[in-house]
Amino acid sequence: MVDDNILIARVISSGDQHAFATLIKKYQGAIRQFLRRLTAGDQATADDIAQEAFLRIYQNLDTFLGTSTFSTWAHKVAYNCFLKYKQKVYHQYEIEGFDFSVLEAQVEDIEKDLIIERLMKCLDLAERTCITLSVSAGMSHQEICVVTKFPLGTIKSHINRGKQKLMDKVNNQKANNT
Amino acid sequence: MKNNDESFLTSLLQYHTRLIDQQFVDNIINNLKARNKFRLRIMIIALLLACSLTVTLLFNMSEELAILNTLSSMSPYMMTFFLITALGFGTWLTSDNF
Repeated sequence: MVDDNILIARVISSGDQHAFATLIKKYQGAIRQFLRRLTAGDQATADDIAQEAFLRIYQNLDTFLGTSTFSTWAHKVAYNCFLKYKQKVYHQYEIEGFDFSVLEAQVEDIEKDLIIERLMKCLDLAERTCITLSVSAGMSHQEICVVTKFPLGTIKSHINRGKQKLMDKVNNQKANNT
Repeated sequence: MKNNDESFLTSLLQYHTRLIDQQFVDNIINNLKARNKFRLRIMIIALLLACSLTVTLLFNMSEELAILNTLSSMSPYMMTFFLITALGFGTWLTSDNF
């Protein structure tokens, strides 16, 4: 696997689209997953925003200074694209109830993915962003700070409050199913 | 929050199916190519406009060049030649293979 910095240098110096395709392949999973959680399961919209984010990354790659990792910077661009989209239009999918056994299943299941994405609806946007970046993307609080520009203390409280809300939602559903 | 609840929630949030889609990559690259192509066309058109403006100004400024201008405007063959060249270039610019 070629190093990110080499790929980025190739894209900046000669607009190498093959190198950029390699970067997309490497980061599409993380960025699309992040946006799917932010849109609470609106997968088509999340993929559209992800596409716009990668186009913006290509255009602004020369402004990437290397002060954070490329992944953090890409998440920041994707988050800004999402905020821009949200200003224009934003729908949320309702989640009234779901089959708890799907969440407990150990097998890989697209339905499980969708339920988790739509569970995010019970959180507000700031909590959803912090929880996804912290737990799902595995970022440190400092990195989340770079992406969202929230103060450190706010990030910690968003994560704790978000986790509590999610746990309550899951436990309620578990009680309803039994 | 209980510890086992917390670990269940963490494993739930970390769960995701792998999202690797060649179609997604191809769409972005095609979009980039289309945008670059559009930018190149706009640049060429702007360059042509600038050139034609410069030539017109030069022809009007110098008396020696004004003679050339009169000569070329008198010849229908020259006019046809320039028209065909301009039309051919326009077709080339708008073709998909460009």
